[in-house]
Amino acid sequence: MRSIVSSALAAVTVLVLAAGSSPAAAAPSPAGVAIDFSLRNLEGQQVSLSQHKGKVVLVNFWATWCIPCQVEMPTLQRLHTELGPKGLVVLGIATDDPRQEALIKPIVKAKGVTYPILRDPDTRVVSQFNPSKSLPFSALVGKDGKIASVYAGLKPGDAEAMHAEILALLAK
Amino acid sequence: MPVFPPLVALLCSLVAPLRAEELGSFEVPAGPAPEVGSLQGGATHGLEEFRFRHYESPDRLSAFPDEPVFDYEEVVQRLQISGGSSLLTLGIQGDAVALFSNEYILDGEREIERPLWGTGLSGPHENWWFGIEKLWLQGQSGRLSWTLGDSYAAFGKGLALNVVKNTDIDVDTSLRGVHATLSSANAELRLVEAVTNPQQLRLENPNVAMQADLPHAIHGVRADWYGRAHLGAHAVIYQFARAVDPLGSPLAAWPSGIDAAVVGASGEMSGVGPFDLAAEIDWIDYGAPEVEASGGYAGYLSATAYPGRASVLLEGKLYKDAEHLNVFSGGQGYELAAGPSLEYERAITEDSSAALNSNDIVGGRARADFNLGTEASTLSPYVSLLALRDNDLGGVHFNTTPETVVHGVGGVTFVRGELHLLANAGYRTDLRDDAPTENGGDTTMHADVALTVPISRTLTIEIAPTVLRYHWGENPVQQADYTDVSNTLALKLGAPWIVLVYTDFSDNELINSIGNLADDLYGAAEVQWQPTNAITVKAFYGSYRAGIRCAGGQCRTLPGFSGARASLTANF
Repeated sequence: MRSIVSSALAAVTVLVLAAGSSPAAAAPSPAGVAIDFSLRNLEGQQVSLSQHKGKVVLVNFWATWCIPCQVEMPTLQRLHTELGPKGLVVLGIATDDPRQEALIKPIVKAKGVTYPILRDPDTRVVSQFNPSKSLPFSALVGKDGKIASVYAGLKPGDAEAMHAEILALLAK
Repeated sequence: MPVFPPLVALLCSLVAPLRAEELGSFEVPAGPAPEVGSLQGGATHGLEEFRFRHYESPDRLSAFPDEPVFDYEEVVQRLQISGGSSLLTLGIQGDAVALFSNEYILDGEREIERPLWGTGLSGPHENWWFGIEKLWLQGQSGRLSWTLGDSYAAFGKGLALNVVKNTDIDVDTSLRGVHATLSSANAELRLVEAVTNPQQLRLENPNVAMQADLPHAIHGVRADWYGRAHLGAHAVIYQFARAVDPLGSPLAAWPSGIDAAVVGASGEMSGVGPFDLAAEIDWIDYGAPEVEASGGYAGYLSATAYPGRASVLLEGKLYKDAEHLNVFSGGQGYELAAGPSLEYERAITEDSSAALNSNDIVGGRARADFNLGTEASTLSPYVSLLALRDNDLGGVHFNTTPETVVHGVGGVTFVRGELHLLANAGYRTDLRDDAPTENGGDTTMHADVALTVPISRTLTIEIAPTVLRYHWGENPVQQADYTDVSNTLALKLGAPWIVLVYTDFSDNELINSIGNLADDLYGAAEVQWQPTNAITVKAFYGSYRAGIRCAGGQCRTLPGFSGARASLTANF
């Protein structure tokens, strides 16, 4: 019993240390500039983040096997349709490895997605933005190129929060 | 020599991009290649992942039936930090693990029931370890991007090389070495010179009896040309490390000689009549004495059409002695190369996993997706039919004669605001040549649903039941039919809090876990707290069953769990 208590204490200590080291840096508004990337779209053309400099960019990582990602797609499409003319760029980055990539275009079509879809088959870019590669994951990049916030997972209220935040970034 | 003109175009375009246009045979995408690196300043990204697990075991020492001496605790810590500019990024991942209460003393003798280290291995401490698991320096300058250290790579359809991270099934094998890409608007040349680096420490699964890494050497090159068509060619050489005496020289594991060589070509073209076409073919030459086949091949073909509001995808595959490439890494829980399986991976069983890894299989899948949504809602049903002829009888196959696999699946996605419904259902039969009747063939019936219903601004209910009924056909190793049922009930209480209740039922005799509510019944509860979008804290208590889990085309048999867990994941 003593060992359980001691190990629990040790675990709590490590948890506290780990937690203590993270929240300050894990604020919803990281100050870093988004590292630039260049990927091919479904037509084979290169698209880079920096070519959209001066716009608000929503970078969304997804995969064909990720169910919440597909649930999220209509929300992103609405953002693209409504706020695209006001300066928002939505970039969907499919992280499927090559085994699954034949499904990318049919799923995109079936979900009515018209924003650009890029391929990241080596998972090089998603590694930079989200090392755990958990999906879905979105990063909101402001006009200044800085990451304004990240959205890990999909939870109720995300759509509203994202919409409000994008409007604020567009107004800056 | 159909490959020659694209290769000339590729090489010319890398030297001077306009030359490809001057050749006149291919259409070049409009516009120059976007310059990378014009964003200024630097950035640091990080990921903190902490796991605490208390394992409960029903096992007892006969003399001490009330003492849970086999219970133990595990702490896992992973920190990844990458920082730099758009031109140069340095990344590092440090991992640590510690086991507690994993030993007891009986009659004065110390017994380590859950050793951290595998046979013959030892670390600086018996019950804890930390190390730099991944380290990389990534650079980008003009047309050249490169990584020194750990990276991931996939060529073509993955038939020749496919080493990528798969978080969902706790696979993180990287390639440690050099990965360079020289690219222009319409061409790419990639070079991989590396050894495999499996994760020493599992983040989500028990770390006991850790084994030494076997560094398989991989030398690969891939050229891609993007024009009217996307054409590519690649070559990969494998040199596999063998298990060696852990107390001996590590150099003894170092590979020598060529164990496998793969050459392949791929092509994709849109707008061929009503179709988008893609194809790949690979030839494999084996030199490894452990592999009986001297060579193999793999071919894949897909055609997609978009009539009206539908997307129709036809895929075909022909794999012969291609899976032997994974023999050496399969024991370590990952695959070096694998092509599209065409399987519905949420219903993979012990039996159907054999077809995933078959060395002699041919067949295809037809799938049609429909976009029937409106501006306010998404409605996208689909139907899919798979037909495979599996002639392989080795490996984990339960059959002694070839079999024909037929699998139909249908499903629908409906999204209206915060209301989500996803449903899939299917029926699969594996008809063996010696028992082509309904009773003789293996059959699987499966269904899964995920329904999210917003009740109020602060309460959303999500329910996700799945059911699978499996009937074993007659076979020499007769097994018992079984049923798997699971359900997740999630109560999302406003933004930061989620309460989940998990229930599992399985009477599959092939799985090696025991339920906490009854032998076949598992129950668990979890609370998740997300104070910001970047931080997730979870606390879990209960039990879930062991079983095969697939994600992204890869499958693993994962252990069950019984006990308590706490976790922290923070992006910063």
